[in-house]
Amino acid sequence: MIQSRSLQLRPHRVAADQLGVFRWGRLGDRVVLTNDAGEWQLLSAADFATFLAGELGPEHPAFEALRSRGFLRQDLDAEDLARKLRRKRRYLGAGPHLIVLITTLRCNQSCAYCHASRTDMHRTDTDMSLETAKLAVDHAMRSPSPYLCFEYQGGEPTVNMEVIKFCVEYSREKNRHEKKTLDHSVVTNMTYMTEENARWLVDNGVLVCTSLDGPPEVHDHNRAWSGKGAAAFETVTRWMDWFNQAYIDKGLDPALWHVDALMTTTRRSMENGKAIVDLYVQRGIRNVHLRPLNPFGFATKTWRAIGYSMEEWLAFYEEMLDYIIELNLQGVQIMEGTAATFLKKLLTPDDPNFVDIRSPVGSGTGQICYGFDGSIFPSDEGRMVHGMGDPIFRLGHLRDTSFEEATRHPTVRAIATASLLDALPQCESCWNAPFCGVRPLHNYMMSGDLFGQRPLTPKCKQHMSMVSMLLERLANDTDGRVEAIFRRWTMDRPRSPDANA
Amino acid sequence: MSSESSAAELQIFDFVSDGRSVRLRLDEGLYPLDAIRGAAYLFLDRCFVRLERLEDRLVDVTLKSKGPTDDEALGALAGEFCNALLDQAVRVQVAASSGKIREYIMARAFFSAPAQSSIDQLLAELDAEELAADDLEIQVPWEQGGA
Amino acid sequence: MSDSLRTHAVDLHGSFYDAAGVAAAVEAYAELARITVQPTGAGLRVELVVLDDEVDDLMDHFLNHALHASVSLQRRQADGVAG
Repeated sequence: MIQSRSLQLRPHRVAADQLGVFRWGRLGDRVVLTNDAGEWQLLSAADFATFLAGELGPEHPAFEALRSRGFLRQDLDAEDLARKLRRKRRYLGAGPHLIVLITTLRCNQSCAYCHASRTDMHRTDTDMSLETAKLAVDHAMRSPSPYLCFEYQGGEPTVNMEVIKFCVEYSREKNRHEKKTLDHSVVTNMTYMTEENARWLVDNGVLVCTSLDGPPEVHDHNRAWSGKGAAAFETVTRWMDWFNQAYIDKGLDPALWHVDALMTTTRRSMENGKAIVDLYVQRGIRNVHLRPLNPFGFATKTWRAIGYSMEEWLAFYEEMLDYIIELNLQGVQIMEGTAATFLKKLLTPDDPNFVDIRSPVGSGTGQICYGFDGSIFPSDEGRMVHGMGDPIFRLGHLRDTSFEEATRHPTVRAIATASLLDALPQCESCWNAPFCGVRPLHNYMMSGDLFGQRPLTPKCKQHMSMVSMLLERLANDTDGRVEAIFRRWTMDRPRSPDANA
Repeated sequence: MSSESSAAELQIFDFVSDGRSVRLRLDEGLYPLDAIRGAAYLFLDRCFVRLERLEDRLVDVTLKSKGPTDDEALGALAGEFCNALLDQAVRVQVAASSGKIREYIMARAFFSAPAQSSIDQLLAELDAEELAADDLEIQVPWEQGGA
Repeated sequence: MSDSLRTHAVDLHGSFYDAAGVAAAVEAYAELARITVQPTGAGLRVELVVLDDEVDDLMDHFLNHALHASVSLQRRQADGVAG
């Protein structure tokens, strides 16, 4: 039945010439204002209306903050805002710093949610050769970035330990002339670790990151492993203990030198959230990184068994965030990784240069990935798409594609264009733009389109909701205790360079 | 533009609902095209959106809901769209007014040539001019001098 | 040609839907419909013959895609970004 109706609404009164340069959006009863320099301010809806109308005067408690942060035209210091913006975007033009090397596709585990192309253990033809490894190090060290982090992935990267050893030693040899700061990090499931390899990694200052999904009932459920009688959880935690003791024996600060762990959130994880956080605390891990599963690439049946909606994940995240804050209020030192990334953007003058959450995204401009066969990709996600049979993100091969050709490849430029928030509808006016980042490769895997349709992309909802949660907790923090905790999460201490020598 | 805020009288939005969708008729003289497009874009996840031009200044926006389609839900959808449209209109207005300052900040941040005129001068120029006329030219040749 | 094939036609005004945005939607839906695009004085006329009876609301999906692509392109052009 056709009905004619009408609405009466009062438009905003706007004194545009009294306002600075800002974006804004509604967070429940509040309005958040942000600007390119990373400044932000929360106002009540009524105060925002007064602000827009140009009637918020110096007597208002928020006036000084609004003025000094550049939200008002009065005394607007554009030079200061430009300085802050330049500092926030220092990563522009710096070149890739995250170097992902796929040492092999072979893996001894077959996890339900693994997106990485993997092959069975007999497939030695999917190992990276030493010749390719040398080309990869030569290629990566052409990056103008003064800092490089070589991250060894697979498959299970330690299956091809020879290549890891070669890359570490060869890059350090080359670095005698290059004088960059180098980190090396191996992402391992620990189930292929040997004492000889572990000793070598410790002695050579290679950081170790593993997967720890939670207590045995979660970890072993998630990670199918044909181990020799031992469960995956028992093996991982035994090796974590071994490494952590070895660092202490070497006289290294355990706050800086310990095995880091990543977890993958499945439906079962969500039923055991607090137990997972408790396990991390118990094992001395300071950073629990709660990440939703990427929904692409799963068979429908598998996704039904382990997957969930973004709304479900965000409810889980919020509960865990509050639990982690509560633990901190009790004096326990543990932080949530993605929250820490956003808090560095919100509370410090710098950007953490996390390649997945920046504008433009770091694919090809902040990171580069070398496949086992010498293929070059803008990121590990690009390599995964290639592994699924779609070569669209292959930038070339180490034999015939220079570093400059790879990082200025039309595909890299297209990815940058598709992730430049200023040029994307909805993002360009979104209050979260100074703190956010979109993932064109993720969009491509979800919808076959680098750009994606913002209102439909789960990452948009994820990032906006997470930052909203942090802002709400800061707004409700009457005694400053939560802000003090959040500020602690933003602090990085450098490891001793001696340990890396 | 004067520093006095513009008046804010109640505005009436007429819409028609047909059990699946709502259709609103908008006057482009009141709501800039950018605001209409921007609001429409925000509803692509919840609705099938269609924009039609009836005549020079009249635009029909049809929102076919992908969710509930009872009268209450469709009325709420129309209300949300109108609020989004008013918000977008503010964004367009603020962006038009502050766009040149933002360009200046961007230029100073990423092409930091020495300024030949200061931001104070720029602000004075902005104060002196009708922003809505959109005829401002920044007096700072930031493309000169290099980084 | 089956009688069950459904044909839809729509006029899209150039101030909302640009040719490149509509072309992107045509490419995206080419496997599900036979689509022809003709210029009109003020924009484009799109005729869409649905090839798969199972697919509902195809024109609606097509228009959302075309609007998304058009707004995206307009945004990038306004920002001076190529691609």
